[in-house]
Amino acid sequence: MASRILLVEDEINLGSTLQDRLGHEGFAPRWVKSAIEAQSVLSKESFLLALLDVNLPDGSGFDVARVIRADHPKTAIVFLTAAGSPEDRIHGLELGAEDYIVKPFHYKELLLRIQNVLKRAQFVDEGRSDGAWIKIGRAQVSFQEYQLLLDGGKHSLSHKECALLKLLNEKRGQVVSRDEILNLVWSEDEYPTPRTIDNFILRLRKWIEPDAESPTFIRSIRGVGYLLEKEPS
Amino acid sequence: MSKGDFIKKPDRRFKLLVLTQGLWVMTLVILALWWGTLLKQQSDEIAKLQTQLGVPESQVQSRLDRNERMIEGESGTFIILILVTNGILLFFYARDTRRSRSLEAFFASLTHELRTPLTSIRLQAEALRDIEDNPKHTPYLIRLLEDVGRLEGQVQQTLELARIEGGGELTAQSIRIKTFIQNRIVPQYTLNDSRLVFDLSLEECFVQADPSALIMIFRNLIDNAIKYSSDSPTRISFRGRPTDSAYHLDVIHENSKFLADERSLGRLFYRGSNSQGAGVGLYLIQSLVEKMKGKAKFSPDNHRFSAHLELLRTPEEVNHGL
Repeated sequence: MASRILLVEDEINLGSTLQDRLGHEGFAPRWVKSAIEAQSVLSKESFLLALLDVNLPDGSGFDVARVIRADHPKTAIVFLTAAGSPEDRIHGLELGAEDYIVKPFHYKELLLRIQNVLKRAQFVDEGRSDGAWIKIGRAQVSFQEYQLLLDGGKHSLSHKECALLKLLNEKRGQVVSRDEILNLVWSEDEYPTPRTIDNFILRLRKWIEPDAESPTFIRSIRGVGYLLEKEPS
Repeated sequence: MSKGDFIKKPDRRFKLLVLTQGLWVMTLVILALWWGTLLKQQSDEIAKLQTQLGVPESQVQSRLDRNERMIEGESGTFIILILVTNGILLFFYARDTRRSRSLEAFFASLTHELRTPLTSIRLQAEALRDIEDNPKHTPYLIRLLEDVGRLEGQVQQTLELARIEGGGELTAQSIRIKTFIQNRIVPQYTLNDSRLVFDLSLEECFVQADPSALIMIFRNLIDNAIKYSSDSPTRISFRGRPTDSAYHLDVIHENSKFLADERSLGRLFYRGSNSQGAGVGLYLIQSLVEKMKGKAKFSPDNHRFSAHLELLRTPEEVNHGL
């Protein structure tokens, strides 16, 4: 089935060109021209990817992103915007966007970046058993729901937390190198450092480990990467 | 994500000017008051001496009164002139700053507004190129795309110039420089243009830089190489190596037709001897690199143009031994 893409763009010529071209590539784009229209569509339909313009006539693409994060955590977000200042870019990525593309861009570049985002989203999605909750340390995790159950409470996982945990879980008992993590979990535009990965690991340990200060499940392998220990049988 | 600001707040210059001006005015006023008081004391001393010398008291008093009025009047006028002159200077400075900021804001908003229609034109031209099967139309489409590219470059430069001159900030992030050039810079050209050949002899290293600024720097250098190339394909070499705290990157274009005075390169509006541009590109490169706490140097030697960039290394890299 064609990947469903929500395209929010108020510029008619650009919107219709993108809709045509993405359609020809085999995607199923749904083009809307305002934030209100986007929110209305999102209340009825779900998408694999949302391409959001930031400056909309009735609001901001950032507001639409917040709605998507809250109601459709599985939808990957990519901003397509003329606002290329560092502050805007950081703001977009902090809202959980997978990528931030500044206009003007080449169509092939856009296509490559859409494919990269979908590849990462597919990585989180593939191999999952619907509705399954997997025990990792002291928590139960659902990669399908992007959620984690801990002490009777539910925590939402971001795309990256989910992807990182899934990668470690898939390779339980094996060392996962930093390069492997960087290639599979992060987008090219985010420029993560080794410290970024450490911060994500610290966050995951707080949920998973009985004592995050002395981790027994997610172990650091000096100079290589991380290892998720097998559950004791 | 590690991030941080590279540069000062935009209105710091104005605040510093007002503070310096205020201190200067205060010093002048205190000096004027001091000299006025001293002159009055001298006048009193002279009056006393005149009385001792037997000059009639009424005459001495009348001269003393006249002198004191004169001293007060002249000191007062001097102080008022200092205050008025400085007030006028500050008024004109503030007005010019406001005008200059309005102009910067206008250019920023204009170029910002141009980005969306430019994207639309580019995508439609690319669509035509991809579906067009009449070879007679191909040269026109290629030229159209080249012109769109040039226009995009100019718009981007104007926007960045307005932003930088307006005190715009850069955000430091850790970037794997070789990966960045391979993934973000090279494909922008090689996906659409086969007349460019890149040679990447770079050592991988994390550098502290703003990704948008890096894109602007490399695009300017590559666009210049295309513009001044004397052969086809245009060959651009990237050579980079890390030292203890910095990363040294050379971007070299062999067979360049660009002629310029090396000492003037990087000055705003300096266009070289045979330039086709506005003299903004190299200035922007220098400003952006300096704002990232690095250094940029350009050498137009004998058919070879090279840019030497010194960028900050990310300290974390050393800790992790990557």
